[in-house]
Amino acid sequence: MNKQIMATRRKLQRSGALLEPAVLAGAAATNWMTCVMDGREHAVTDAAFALGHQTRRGIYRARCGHDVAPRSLSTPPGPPCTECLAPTTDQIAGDASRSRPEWLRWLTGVARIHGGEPARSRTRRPVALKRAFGNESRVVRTGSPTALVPDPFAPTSSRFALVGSTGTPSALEEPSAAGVRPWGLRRARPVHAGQVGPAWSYCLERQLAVDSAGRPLIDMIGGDPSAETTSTTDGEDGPSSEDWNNDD
Amino acid sequence: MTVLILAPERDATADRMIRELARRRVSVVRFDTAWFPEHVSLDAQFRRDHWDGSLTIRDRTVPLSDIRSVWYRSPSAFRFPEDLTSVERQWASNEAKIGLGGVLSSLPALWVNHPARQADAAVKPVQLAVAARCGLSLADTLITNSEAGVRRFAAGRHTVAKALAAPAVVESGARCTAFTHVLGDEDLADLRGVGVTAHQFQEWVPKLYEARVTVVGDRFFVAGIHATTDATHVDWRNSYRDLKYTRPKLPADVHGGLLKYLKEFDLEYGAFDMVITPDGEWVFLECNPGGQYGWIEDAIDAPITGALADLLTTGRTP
Repeated sequence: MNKQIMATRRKLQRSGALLEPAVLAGAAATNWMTCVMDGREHAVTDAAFALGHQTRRGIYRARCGHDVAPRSLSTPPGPPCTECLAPTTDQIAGDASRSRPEWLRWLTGVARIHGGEPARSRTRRPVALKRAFGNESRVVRTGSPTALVPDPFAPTSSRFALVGSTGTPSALEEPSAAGVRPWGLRRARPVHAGQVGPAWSYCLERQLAVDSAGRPLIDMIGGDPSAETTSTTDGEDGPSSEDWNNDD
Repeated sequence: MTVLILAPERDATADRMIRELARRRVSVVRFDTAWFPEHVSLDAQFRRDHWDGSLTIRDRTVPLSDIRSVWYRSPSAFRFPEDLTSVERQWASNEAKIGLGGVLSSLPALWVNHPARQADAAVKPVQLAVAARCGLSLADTLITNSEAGVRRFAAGRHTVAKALAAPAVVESGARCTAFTHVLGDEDLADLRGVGVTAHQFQEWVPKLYEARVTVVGDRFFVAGIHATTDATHVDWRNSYRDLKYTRPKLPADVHGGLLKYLKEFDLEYGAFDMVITPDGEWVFLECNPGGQYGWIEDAIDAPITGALADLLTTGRTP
């Protein structure tokens, strides 16, 4: 099974259809889905999610072994599956690194600050489904060393009188059918793969990004954007893309 | 005097600014809000009429009174311990936003731009209303979730659809974009999904070329953007490889209108997108209050980093 998952992941990566780790980091390492068959919430790892997506059957293998046929995200979640909540063998052993997906290990490496302390290895805790502020919103523990909370300083006014959010997007969801899907998204097309930048870390002393040899990245990239196209809008929350490093 | 830069760790534009300020021997401290609270410590006490104390970023301590200006470069979200519940995390985030962000906001420092002003200025319908008040030319625009409204608006004229917020989504494991699109008969024949949410439609503005006008304080850097393909003619974001750049002269009335626009939003920086019609009219499309400029700086050899460094170093208070 693991070989099959990794083969699928490699295939997706080669085709450019699979997101780079930095993008996936915004999603969850484990997704919780309510199954229409047993009405319970099950934990589906990102690798199992990718595999389910690849087969296009709409079935995802949960941590407990149950094959999940997801219920609509607009319906309230069912009670969590106790087997999915239970710690895995790796977690009991405290060897978090073995249980982590490859991209999460990569993310941990990125979080390591050049010259700073190595990122701590933590045991991955059992994932618990949490609701956040709205009936439809589901926040899932990510399994990363720390969890992100958006909008560092943006004002409440930018949310236009909304309390909470409409939902937590999943990067692996399929588009809805015409009529359900917003018309403005009908023309959405995958972007071209960007250039792959060098491995880098943040140098605390010089306060800029450097490569593995300690050379500032800005000495190695030109003025052209690294991607053929951009896919975010300046002025929006989050890093904008009209720059050199838009697709790294 | 210290310049504070709030930016993610991977930000080539901020890297360039760091180097420029170092060259000028200006004290600069950079941090990402994702470092809070694990690597950033705030110790602020209100004394009589101001906040006093310090900000410690790893091993650097900056007295709050020493912060002359703040450059806000889309820093990352706060990071809290995984052990927190979502409720606790949200609560902690709000406290951090008001506490850390509030103390920094209260300082008599210049913000380029203040995130609150920037958030307000990012709202497209408000942008059009303000631009009109500032005497700028605009395209007819419709925002609706009514199919009948779209057909009425598009009848007898070329119309484009464009996203109001980010034109990108991540789904099916891939990042997808929906840039500006010229409506055809097939689009108007099937508008299912318009009713799902608000959509923006705009009259197609006859286009000789486009311009990105980057304004830093009162300094203007005007780049003409010339598309060389059909796709980039509709939306130049479709392919940077298919663009050419010039340095056109900005008409005086447009210059004045853009300055007035920035003043209305209380912005020190703005990146305007405009269309130049065959008649030479400059039509406002939008203003990106946090717009990137790295690629355009090189494309037209404009010293935007230097101008921003001047502004941050001078630290004019609002």
